[in-house]
Amino acid sequence: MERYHITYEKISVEEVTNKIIHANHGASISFIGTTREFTHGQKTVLLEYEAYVPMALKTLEQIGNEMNEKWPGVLTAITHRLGKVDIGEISVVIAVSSPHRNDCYEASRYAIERLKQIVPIWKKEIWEDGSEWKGHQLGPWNPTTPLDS
Amino acid sequence: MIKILLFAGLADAAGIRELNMELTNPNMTVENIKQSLKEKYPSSAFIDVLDKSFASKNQEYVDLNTVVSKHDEVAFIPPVSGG
Repeated sequence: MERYHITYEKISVEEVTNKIIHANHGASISFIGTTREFTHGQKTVLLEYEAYVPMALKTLEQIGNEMNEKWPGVLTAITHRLGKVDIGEISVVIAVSSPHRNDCYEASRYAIERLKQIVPIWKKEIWEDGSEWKGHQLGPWNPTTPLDS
Repeated sequence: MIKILLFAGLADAAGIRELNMELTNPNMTVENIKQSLKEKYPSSAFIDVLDKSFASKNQEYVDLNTVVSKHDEVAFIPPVSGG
């Protein structure tokens, strides 16, 4: 049961969440990212994800380790989908659990923001009349800086 | 030989995802590889994305001054867009 996983299959939220349920943890959050039909008015018909898989797995694990330093004891499981993903389907699930809810909410937010900053995965939007690889949307891209800077 | 990997828009612009490069000198850096790629794939589409990309060596982000050695795997990583 690997806690960091990349798959071409549909993602089961329950399966990812079950990896982090713990008897001493009273809070768990599963963040679900789904593919969006309209981005800035442009209609997407399909999305396609690609990854540098071994490095994506390493950076997902790195995020889990960083979370453990910031919120000791949190458990994290992340599954990201690759390949063609239809509109409205799940592209990523991030499940986090902790003894109390406050850490859980903060850690969950950190995980998705950090994923979007450093994990080598790319999304191609495919429209009726073309396609485009999307870039990082958070300003100048530097995956070697902490999230806050 | 050094293994070079390209992804997403960079792979599309080059028309190739993986290539090998000879180690031309013992102090060869990631920057040297980047310059060789620009000579090999001089299209502005490729160079634009390459200049926005970060490099990794053996699956760790590195800066351009990093020295490479035989059997290293160097990747150029365009701005990521997972999630």
